[in-house]
Amino acid sequence: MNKKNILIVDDSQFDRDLLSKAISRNLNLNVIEAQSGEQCLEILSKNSIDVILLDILMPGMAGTEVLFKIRENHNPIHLPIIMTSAKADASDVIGCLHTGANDYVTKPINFDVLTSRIQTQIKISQLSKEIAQLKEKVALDALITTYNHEINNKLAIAIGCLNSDEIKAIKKYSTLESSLWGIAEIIKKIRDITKKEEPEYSKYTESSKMIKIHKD
Amino acid sequence: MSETTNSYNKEKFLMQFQGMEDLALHAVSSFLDNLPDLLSSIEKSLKTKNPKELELSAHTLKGVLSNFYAEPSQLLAWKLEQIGSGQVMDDSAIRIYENLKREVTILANQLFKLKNQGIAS
Repeated sequence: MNKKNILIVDDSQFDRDLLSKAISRNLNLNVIEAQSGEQCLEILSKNSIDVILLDILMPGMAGTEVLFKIRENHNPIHLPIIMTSAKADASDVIGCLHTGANDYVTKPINFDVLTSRIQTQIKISQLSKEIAQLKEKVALDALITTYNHEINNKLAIAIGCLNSDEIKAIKKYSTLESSLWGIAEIIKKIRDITKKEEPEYSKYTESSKMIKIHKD
Repeated sequence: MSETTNSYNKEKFLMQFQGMEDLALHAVSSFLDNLPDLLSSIEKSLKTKNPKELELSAHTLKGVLSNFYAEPSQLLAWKLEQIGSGQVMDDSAIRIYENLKREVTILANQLFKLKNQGIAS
């Protein structure tokens, strides 16, 4: 599996250096660094980033502005953003959470806490993507089932017509009959496949990181 | 009982690294490497009388110092940050900066000692 990418955005060389070292030491992530908001947006436009650590107070484009711009194109599920801030910036942190930050850590950073928070955000993002994929599959299955049912109804009418003497009298009757029964066979196969691939709740919770809330 | 020196709190500093001594030593080395640039950014903002630059550069240094729980110098950096955010720079800013420079020099000497003697000292 490919390593996930974390982007550290901080104007302080000391903070970037320490965060980068701590993350590389504790987590299996590729670390990318940006020293300004502008550089962050540029890197984001050219790379696939999985989580961002974003400082609030920076020269040029502030972290709050960067956050706002990122959220124009990336939702919090697909791209979690953890704000970093000095304790005095509490009001800014609240503002950031309202603008779409997923979490925040205060400086000086406890690196065990930071590691847990990054892992949590990555897990939430991964799980949300799995749920979205599952929902898409369920919707597709429902669509196939509905169309299958609709076609089957029309086909039943058509096959019913084969019993009529007028239809039996036409030249191509046998071709028509075998074609209609052929379609009926294909529809039956589609129904069987769809039934087999319907996701089972218990199977899903066993194979994923979801907490099972019902006993079988 | 917390071991407190005049310039920083060693116990609190080490606590945030929780057994990652290599990382703590890396923080010390990185601080010693970056300190001249951090101070010169503040100095430049004072020379050019740029309050916004003073606010940002003092804020950055304050954040770095907070890793070492270096309260005396953090307080001075905070005062400079406040002067910068107030948009009015007078001579007091230069006096505070001189005090800050003195404090961080003491801190740097103590951290240099820690780096050479090792965490367990």
